[in-house]
Amino acid sequence: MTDTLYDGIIEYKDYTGNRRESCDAVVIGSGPTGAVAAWQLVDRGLDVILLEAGPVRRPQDFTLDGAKTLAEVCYEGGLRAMRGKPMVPTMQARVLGGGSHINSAICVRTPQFCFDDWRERYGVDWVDRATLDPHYDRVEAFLGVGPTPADVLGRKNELFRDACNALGIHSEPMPRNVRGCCGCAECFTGCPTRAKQSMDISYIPDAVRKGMRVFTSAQVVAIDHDGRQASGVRAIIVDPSGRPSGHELRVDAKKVILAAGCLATPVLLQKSNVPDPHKQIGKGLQAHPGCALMGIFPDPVDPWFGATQGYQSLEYLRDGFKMETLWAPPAILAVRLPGFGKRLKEYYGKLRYSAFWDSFFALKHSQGRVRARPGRSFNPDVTYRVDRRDIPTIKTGLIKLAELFWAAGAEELLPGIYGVPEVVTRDQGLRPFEQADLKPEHIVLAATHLFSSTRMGPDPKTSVVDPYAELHHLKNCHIVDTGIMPRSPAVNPMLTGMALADRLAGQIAERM
Amino acid sequence: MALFLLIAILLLLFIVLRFRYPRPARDYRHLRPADVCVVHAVSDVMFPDGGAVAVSGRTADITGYIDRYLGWHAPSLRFLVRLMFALIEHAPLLFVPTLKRFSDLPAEAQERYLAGWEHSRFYPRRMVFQSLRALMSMAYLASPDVERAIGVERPERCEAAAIVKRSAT
Repeated sequence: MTDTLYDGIIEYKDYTGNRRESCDAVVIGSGPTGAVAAWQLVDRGLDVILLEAGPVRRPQDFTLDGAKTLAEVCYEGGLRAMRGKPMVPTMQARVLGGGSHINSAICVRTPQFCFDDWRERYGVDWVDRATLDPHYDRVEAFLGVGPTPADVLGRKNELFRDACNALGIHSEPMPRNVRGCCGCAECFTGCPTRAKQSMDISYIPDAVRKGMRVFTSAQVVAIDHDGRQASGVRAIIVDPSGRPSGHELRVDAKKVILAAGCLATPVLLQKSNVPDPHKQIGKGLQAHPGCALMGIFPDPVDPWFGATQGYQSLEYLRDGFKMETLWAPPAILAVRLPGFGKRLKEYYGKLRYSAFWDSFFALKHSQGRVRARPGRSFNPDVTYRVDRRDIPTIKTGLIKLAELFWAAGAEELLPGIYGVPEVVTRDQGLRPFEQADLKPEHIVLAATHLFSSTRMGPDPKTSVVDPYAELHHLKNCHIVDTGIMPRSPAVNPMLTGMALADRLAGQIAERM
Repeated sequence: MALFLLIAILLLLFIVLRFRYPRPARDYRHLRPADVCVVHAVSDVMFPDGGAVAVSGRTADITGYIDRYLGWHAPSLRFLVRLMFALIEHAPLLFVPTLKRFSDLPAEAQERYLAGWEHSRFYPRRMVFQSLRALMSMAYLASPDVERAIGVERPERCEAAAIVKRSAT
């Protein structure tokens, strides 16, 4: 059904030897920020090459098997984790379209209080809602961002909505970049109806029609530079599983735009020996670790139907957490269920009656670091430490989540938290959560929102890029991915990342 | 010298006999006989016959799935998974304690042993258990029989989407 969608895109089978190309700007990474930046540069008449390490993935490549999808689509087989207490799993897509190919299409604007925080703490006074709103508008219009329609919510989302209403707290249908979603809840394994406007079916094909060249299966291994300015990149060609083919691609460019993600970008900079006199690259990594609870209801919920993540509450953003509905293939979600044997099977038997809702946290004191591993590996060594001072925020987020489940009529909760009973009953209410003496390693967390590993800021001693996203110590090399966010955007970072990329790419084009 | 050689040979013989694993009933591409033994044993404890979801771990072919799963990953990850199996298999020496391997323990002792990992106060030990359970659960839930048993259905209006994917699998 989309045979012509990828016309003109170079795929693994198209490489027959080494290649050398030149262009005005080479963009590394085809995820949301890279795709938007590349589109913006092409739209302004520049000759642009977009490089993606992963392959093109078509509906006939999709599988309902969540574990297989992770293995095929993500770096390190989807088993990447940030080292620390607790270990926090995270993932990075390696496919045309990047994370947008497997995420839930959530598009939320960052509230102004975050930009105030960025300004006060990091001196970033050139970004706020007034400057970004036109870019939010443009991206949203391009991707058809709108609230999840009522007819595809499904019961798991409706229960969340009703619970928020009963408690009198904010809630709204999730704004998502979809057109014609049928609510099959399969966003995670690749949208089979192509309703989700992931980058591989939206920005990238449009930019190709405008003249952009796209090379997939091209894993960038070095930025060419003379210590003062960048002049291009070198890539090795890898097969869909990431194995090198022996062929190389070299791109000479006036501008190098990095959008490889906030884990890969610092690794590439470090491996390329980019000047970093103040050791800022990879430092200060921040994340939104999230924790989901499973609530069991008296009637069937059939969580496998309805928009994957169709409802959210922004009530507690200023308190450091956001609540939302959640779904993924049972094989992925069920890994957090407690016990084993017939007890575990009993919980599996209740999946039909269950809903998973999560809180994710913008933790003030917790942070990590990204380092390149020695040798040839381009997988990052990521450490992240959940600070004990942030435990009260996590605890409050869990209590509010439990409160929502009880308000929705759940009979039991499975917290999956060490030190909290395996099953919390309605009679027990919030007590088990309130009384728990939680430590970071007691909580099962996962984080898909990462940022701040190559912060922007005015001071080269405390940041990596300047207001134009250009490296302080390497001219003609810019970063436009979420690594430049100085701190948490409080909400899902994709839309703000795209809006920033839209703005920055426009500025880069104007200055060329 | 002769006595030393004799002791060495006897020791080697003991180790070979003691730690030899039977050849699996079918061939696996990535799992070795020792791995198969551990996976079978863990599968029997984690997903026994009967219960709310009647399908057992053996019927769901957890071992076959894990063999395929290892094939999707890099050798370094395959090594780590095997290391995990080996740890579970031989750690009864530390945690029970007994000279028996996990796969040789009686069923009740296997349950107690795994419960010890699950509820350990030592975080890395809990992590190993969670990783093991995650792997086993992914394999179990990937079975169409299990999916049917827990009631996963595709809504009619998304049938087109489901067909696209089914045709690919």
